[in-house]
Amino acid sequence: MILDLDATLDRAFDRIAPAWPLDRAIAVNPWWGWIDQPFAAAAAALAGLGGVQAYPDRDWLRARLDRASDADITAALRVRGLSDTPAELRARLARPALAAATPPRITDLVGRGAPTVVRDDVSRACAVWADAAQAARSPRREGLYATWWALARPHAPSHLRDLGGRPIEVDDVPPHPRAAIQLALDALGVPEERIEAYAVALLLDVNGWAAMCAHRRWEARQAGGDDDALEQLLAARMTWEVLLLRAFPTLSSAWSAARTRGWAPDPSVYAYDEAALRACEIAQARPWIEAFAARPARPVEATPAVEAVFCIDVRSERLRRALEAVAPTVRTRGFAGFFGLPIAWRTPDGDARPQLPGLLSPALLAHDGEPAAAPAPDDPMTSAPGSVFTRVEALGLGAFGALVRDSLGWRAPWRDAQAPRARPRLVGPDGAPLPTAARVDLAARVLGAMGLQPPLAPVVALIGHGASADNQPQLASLHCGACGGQTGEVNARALAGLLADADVRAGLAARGIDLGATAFVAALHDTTTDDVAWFDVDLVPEAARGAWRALRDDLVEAGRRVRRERAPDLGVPVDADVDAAIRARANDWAEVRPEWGLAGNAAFVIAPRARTRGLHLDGRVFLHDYRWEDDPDRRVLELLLTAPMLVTHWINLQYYASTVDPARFGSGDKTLHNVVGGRVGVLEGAAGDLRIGLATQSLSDARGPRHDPLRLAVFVDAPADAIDAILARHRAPRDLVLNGWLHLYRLGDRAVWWRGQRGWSRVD
Amino acid sequence: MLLVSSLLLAVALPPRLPGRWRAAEAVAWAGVPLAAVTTLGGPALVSIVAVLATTLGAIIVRYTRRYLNGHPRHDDAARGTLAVLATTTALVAADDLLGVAVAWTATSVALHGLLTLPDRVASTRAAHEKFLVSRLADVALYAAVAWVYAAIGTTRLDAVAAAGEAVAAPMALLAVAFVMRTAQLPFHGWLLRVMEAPTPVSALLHAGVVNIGGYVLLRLGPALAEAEVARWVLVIAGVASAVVGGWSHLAQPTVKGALAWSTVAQLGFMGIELGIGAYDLALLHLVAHAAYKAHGFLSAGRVVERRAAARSTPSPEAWARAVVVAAALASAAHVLVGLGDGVRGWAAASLLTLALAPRLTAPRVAPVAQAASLVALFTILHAVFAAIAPNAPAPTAGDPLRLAVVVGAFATSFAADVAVRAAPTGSLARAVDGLAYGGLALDAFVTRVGFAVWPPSRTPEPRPLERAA
Repeated sequence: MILDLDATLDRAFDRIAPAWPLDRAIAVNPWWGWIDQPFAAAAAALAGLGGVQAYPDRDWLRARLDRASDADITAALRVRGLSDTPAELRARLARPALAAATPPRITDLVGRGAPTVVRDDVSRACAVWADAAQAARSPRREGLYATWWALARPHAPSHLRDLGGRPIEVDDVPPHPRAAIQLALDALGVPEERIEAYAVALLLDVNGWAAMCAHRRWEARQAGGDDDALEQLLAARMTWEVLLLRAFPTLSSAWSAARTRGWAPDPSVYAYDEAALRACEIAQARPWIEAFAARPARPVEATPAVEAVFCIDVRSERLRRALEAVAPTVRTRGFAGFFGLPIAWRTPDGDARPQLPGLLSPALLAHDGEPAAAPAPDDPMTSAPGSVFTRVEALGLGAFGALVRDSLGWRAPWRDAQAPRARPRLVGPDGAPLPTAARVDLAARVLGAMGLQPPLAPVVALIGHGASADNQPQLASLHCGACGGQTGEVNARALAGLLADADVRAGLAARGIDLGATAFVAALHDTTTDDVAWFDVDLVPEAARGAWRALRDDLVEAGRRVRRERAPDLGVPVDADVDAAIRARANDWAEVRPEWGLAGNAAFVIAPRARTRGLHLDGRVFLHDYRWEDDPDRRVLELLLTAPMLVTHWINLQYYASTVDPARFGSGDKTLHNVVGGRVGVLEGAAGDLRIGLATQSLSDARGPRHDPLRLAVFVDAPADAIDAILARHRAPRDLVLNGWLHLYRLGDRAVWWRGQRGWSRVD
Repeated sequence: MLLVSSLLLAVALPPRLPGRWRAAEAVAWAGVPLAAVTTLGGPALVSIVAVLATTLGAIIVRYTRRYLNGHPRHDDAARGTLAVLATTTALVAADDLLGVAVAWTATSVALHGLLTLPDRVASTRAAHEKFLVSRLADVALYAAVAWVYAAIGTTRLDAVAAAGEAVAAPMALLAVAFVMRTAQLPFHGWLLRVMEAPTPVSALLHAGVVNIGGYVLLRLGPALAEAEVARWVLVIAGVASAVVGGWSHLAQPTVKGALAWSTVAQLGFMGIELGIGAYDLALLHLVAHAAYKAHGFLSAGRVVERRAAARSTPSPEAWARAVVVAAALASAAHVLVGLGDGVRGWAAASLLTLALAPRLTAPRVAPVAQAASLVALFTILHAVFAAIAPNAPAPTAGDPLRLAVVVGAFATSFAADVAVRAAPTGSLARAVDGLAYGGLALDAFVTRVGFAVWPPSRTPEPRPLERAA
């Protein structure tokens, strides 16, 4: 048999989920490459190949089960085909979980610090190679593999000697990565059917950098090309295995045994973890299920005085609830915060910055009509080895002013440095103006997806979100994920501008979508301060000004209420200074928790707001408005289950993975963060793997954890056959539902149904 | 000053203290005016460094209070930071070399606690590495104290400073302690690796603790002036650190790595200034670099929003023109205002020329104006610090050679910069960039020997699956 190495390696690379760079970081399910398998099977494979812990700690599960009723626990056990009683489950969880498996890697056989030495070495080379912004001078070579060998070659013999290996010749390392992989596979004698798993095991050992390389591959493939950084990384990592095996010949018998034994435990070892986790998830969803089931499917709604569209983000739920309480005639609506515009933003610096979910690639460009700023003139004194001393002597004293200013927070409030300087407008991908017909198409599509149908309220506000904070390498993770880790300002303003365009409105009217006198106005919800900023209000016609002003004032009051709701979680006393104290967090260079991001996220509701309005969902639920009656061909539903549901799942699983295995899928202690390459990512401290996922500070504070590692519950108000037809057509949502990566519920009339392997079952 | 030190210790020492952070910040801020008032009337050097240390201390305490909020080591950070500040202020206040030595050791030990995160192997190893170098420095330091006492029968700082050649040998030992404690080549490896501690601890180390050596030598300035060996030690280690560090900090892919190498280089430059007798500039450097580096660390998270600048590749003619204009500006400053006596002044003008030239490679007016204002600013600061710093030593026979070494090294480095910019992908550039990135790998040997003599405590490799077992 001739092995197709390309296809084998490609499958291995597919297992590694991408990690976006810091300046456009979005949440990703780090196990996205495993959704074709049941969650427990993926957990077993990850544990065997990378020592990953994919289930919560058993102590945590056991404690958490106290919140579940026996009925919930029994239901979870039966779904898993287990006949145990709740008491038996608890007893089983009191026993230790799966014993530590040693991943099939030579580094782990050598021990004695070898894993750290190798990880640090490969990571160092990755940092040099990936850096395009920090270093003025770099020993980078063409390609990651060549860079690695240029840096590793001088030190490899002494590393091996320090680890206790025998002296070996290292000059025969092949210059080409593919040759290195082939040579290594031969030298290591990896059985053909295990090459894929072995490659995954090695990549999981430098998981952060593998994810960075996977992102390059993801982007290249979105653009129709490909990228081989993962292969180069694998070649470097695999060459270390060969060097170690040669330096430690006594290990060859241990390796022979290791490469033939079973690498991943049987998924059944997780049967009780899975049942317990599921029971906790059922128990968590129970109050929501009861609340939704208690409501009629279609309560009567009056035509609103004002309509406010928010992002589906869990943080919008608080502001929407507060706004509705302050102004009962306002109707709020949830929609992905990129507002359906598949755009890249041409920043004032001239970059094309994606402002849409990571699953999509930009089809249009937005720009503000101003010329791109010329690159800041290079001051050669900052990159000259002998000039830095005089600079510091002449200018260093000025840093005292900066120290005092920053200590006291005397800075202009944070604002996106690449925010629009004027109203953004949409153009084609090449910068050419968009024909009116194309703009009308886009507007009609967005309005349809949003479910905005005439007659509309006189004012429709489009409210994106972003977080203001100072000195935060991971700020993008607090911004709008649907906007590619940016604030939603560009998208909200671009859509408001598009819908204000007279030609577009005429074109829409010609298609039977008469916007009448409705004014669209863009705004940005600052999730640190809960203040709302308004943009381009000159677009609001005089007649609608009154309604807009009323909305603006209502949002001021709503923001005030939300700050009081959030204050206890932030450790801010609710007293006369609460507003100032929370706003100060936006401008505090020492604040590691400006706000809590999406911590606590637990559910996603795809239904008319009427089904959730009035419920206190505690900032934990994504809300997307959808009326299946208005979607006869189910196109909108198809979009929702294939895009927003995946995005919310990515967010949910990022929080999950960062919580259950913080060492591999969390980015560690923020106070140790060390930014690599200006924006590539962070290290924790001076060395080690690139750290992906959420930092400890984003998940817990002195009072304990702030996120419960539970999988997302998705509630969809749509007919069962419509949902099933979409699942049958689309693999990713089907995998997520049937393999237990999330829970899909259907909201019926005074009933809720759960989608299991074999179909829908009513939840009692 | 001892009052400040005692107040800080009073908040740092109790193992349990409710409201420790509130008290810590209050005491730290109160320390600034107290330091100013209590050092009034003494040497200006002491006042300046006392105010510098307490101001940076207060800013770092305030930052740490918020930054480590909710961190398991929040309280430990308060205690450690205050202990470092207390020992540092005690050192600044001390008027006896033995007191200085004890306070210096105490600072190092207090810092060791801040640098050691018990659950992080890399952190404990790095802290151990620093501990080794510091204790080695202590050997030199206490030997110097004993030798001073044997030679002149007292260790009072003013007496030692005035003892001239009688203390030349112990001054050489002190210079060796300086080289180790300020992370000069080849003892710089620990400074790069202790980046395993929270950001404000790095600020405390880089803006505060590593500068102590400079302060100690400045207080003994007159004695240093007559210690030829000590001055050569400072100049050689300083030139090596400034030149290698100057290149290496430009080649680091991480923001904190670049800051750490920059400290090695900047302290090397301060060592050169001490070695060539430019005490005024050494003091200016100490103060300016401390502020610059504190801000650099505390604001390191902003790097993500910074835009990478395009790198220029000037032509040979542009370089030639730039050197001429820079030389004109520097000479004008020296002739009109003065950058130092005799050869030292011209050496300073030469270094200024080499430093300014890159800025002037663009044939535009703005860079010239900027370079001119930089020279003006530098000259004014030089004059101000010349008035307050300890008197510059009289020229000695060793000066011309030392200055020639310094200027020659910087000129060579400058030439290398011109050459690699001209051919950024050439073989010279490749070689230089490789060497710069690793800092010539000079630290590896020292670390290996150190760990062989005194290995770090064995911490087990973290196992992949640490589950309830």
